Amino acid sequence: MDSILYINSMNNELIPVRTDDIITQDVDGETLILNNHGAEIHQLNDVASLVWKYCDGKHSITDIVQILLNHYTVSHEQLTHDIETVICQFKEKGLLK
Amino acid sequence: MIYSDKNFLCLSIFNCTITVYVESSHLRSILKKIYGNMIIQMPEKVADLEYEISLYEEPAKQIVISRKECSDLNTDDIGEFIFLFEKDMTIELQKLRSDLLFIHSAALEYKGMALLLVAPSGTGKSTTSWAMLNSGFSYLSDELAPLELNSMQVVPYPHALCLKAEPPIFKLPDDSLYTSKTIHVPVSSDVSNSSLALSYIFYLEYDEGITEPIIKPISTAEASAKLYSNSLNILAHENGENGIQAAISVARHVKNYSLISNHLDKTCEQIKILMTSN
Repeated sequence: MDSILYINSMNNELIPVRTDDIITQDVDGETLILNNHGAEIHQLNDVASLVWKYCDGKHSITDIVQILLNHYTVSHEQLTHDIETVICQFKEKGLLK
Repeated sequence: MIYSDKNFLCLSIFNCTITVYVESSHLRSILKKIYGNMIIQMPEKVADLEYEISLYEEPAKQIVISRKECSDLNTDDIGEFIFLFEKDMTIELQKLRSDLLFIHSAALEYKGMALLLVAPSGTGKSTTSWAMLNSGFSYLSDELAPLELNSMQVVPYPHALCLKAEPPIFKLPDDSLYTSKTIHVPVSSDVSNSSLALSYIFYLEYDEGITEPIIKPISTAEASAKLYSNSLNILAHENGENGIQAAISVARHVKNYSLISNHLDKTCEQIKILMTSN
């Protein structure tokens, strides 16, 4: 329930910024992320990898939705929801500031 | 120290020499049962690790494990003694052989190829290993798979198989050692005593709800993440990348499969079919 409330209240003009001291490794199009000085490892699928690529402190969530609309045949509403969910998960895992 | 006393046991593990001075014939016989595959003649040089194990009956039964420059480990329970000794020794061996990547895994051989069963504790590595040993596989380890990264070879650690409960199939031998915590099953035949090229890694899960084992390939990224999580000294291989490159290089070198297991005999057959067909 907390996660849903967070998504509903998400300001899509927010610009996601990665936490410091994170190591990102591309492996055949999928992304591995190490945080907490290597104590945790996260594996991202292709969609999450693309979202992560643009969580660079330069693109807003709205920007990321627009970019990914060019990659996937999906409704704007559905893609916005999916990206907000992924960004929520990044935040919960401590991968974003 | 002169290694001539009959109370000494000498082990060779990962090319390291370990001496254990133990006067109690009971404790010595337990160690021989567990580490029998790794016992060697007394070395002429100083050992890499030296232990002394003492058994006191008065005022109360107490087993004391001593190692130089280390606080003694004490217990009154045989199962706990085995656990404490093995834990201390394997941690020290990881320091001595930090060039090896230690994976929390069982390791077996089939048709000259080494395979790993990677899983957290309590997932069934040892029970599956026992079934595989009774199905045409040879034994390297049920718990710890050290890997030489340059050659991608698995170094054997053939201590007695350590089970938490009686397996559902394949009766245990009469010389199995039952303790309060675990069952230790000496493996004397079908043991691989030399390093073997690693060919397959199965990431093991147990699901009592399935009727057939499910084996399916997984991506290099997923395999790398699982290997990273199940490696004991991955940060010793960081090379500026927190060890992830070591995990990726291993994952790229082998065939990686997720293995959801329930019926042990079917699982063994499926693995054999897969390794034969490839």
